[in-house]
Amino acid sequence: MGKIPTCFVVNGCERVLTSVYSQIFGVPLALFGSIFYLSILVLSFVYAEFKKEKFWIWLMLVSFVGFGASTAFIYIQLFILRAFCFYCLVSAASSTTIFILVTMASLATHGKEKTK
Amino acid sequence: MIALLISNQSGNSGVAGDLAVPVGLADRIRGKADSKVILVEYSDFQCPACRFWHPILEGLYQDYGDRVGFVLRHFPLSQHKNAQLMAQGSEAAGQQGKFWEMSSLLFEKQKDWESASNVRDILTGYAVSLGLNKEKFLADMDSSEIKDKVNNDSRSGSLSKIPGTPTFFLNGKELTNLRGYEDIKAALDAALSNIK
Repeated sequence: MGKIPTCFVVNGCERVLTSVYSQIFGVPLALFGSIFYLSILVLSFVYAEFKKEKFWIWLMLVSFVGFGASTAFIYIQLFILRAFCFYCLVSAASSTTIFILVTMASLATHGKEKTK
Repeated sequence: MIALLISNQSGNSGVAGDLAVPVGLADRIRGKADSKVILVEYSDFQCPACRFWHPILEGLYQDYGDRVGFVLRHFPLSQHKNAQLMAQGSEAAGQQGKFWEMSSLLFEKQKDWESASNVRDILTGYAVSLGLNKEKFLADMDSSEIKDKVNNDSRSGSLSKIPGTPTFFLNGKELTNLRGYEDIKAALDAALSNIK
């Protein structure tokens, strides 16, 4: 069943990073990525310091947006550009990991409060 | 995500591209070179998927070599550190008329050299075993002419936006969702019946 595996281009950074999908209104996606990671960092510290529920909710929201964006970027690389950029894949893996960890932590500690 | 990279089950469906650079005099072609049915394969000697396809291509050449032209273009991927050198080696063998013999040998012995440190020696050994002139082979392998040939092939693949290797084009149109011999055979049969 299915297609025989292919050896994919993973040195496609040039193709990916110079494509029309690499920026939104002239702002490179990498900048949004930096803002994303910075927000995660700041929110984590702020939550650890103040233990306020609203910071945790922001953390969940931001990590979900990061995960959604990564999924979209993988889709674009795989189906539209047909080239993979290694650094984008690493970022997608890390944002997915962040999302999973945040979700697991939410389920473990905040789940009961939320279901009320 | 890694799984996505390795087993892309439905990956290319619906996004088939065109061959950006037409088959020309610079191409390595075997079978019926002046046929109206030409199959182009972008290949990487260090790619396991290309090794998998190698015997299938050999079978197709045996069965259709009298009617179809078979082209091999290099597309060494950067994650395969020995692929570029092997592509140059195959072209150097081609300077002495043994391109296809060397290509077959490289696929058959892929496991022996893919992670070896002395790949140059191994490659030279293959050249000698094919009866090639060693000095000429070594000189040709690093010549700018041969590097240009490999780089031009690779660039043409990038221009066609191929997703990786192997990628096949039949008469300039990309073939997608191929599972094996039968799928290419069906495509060749259809193309051959069209030219009659």
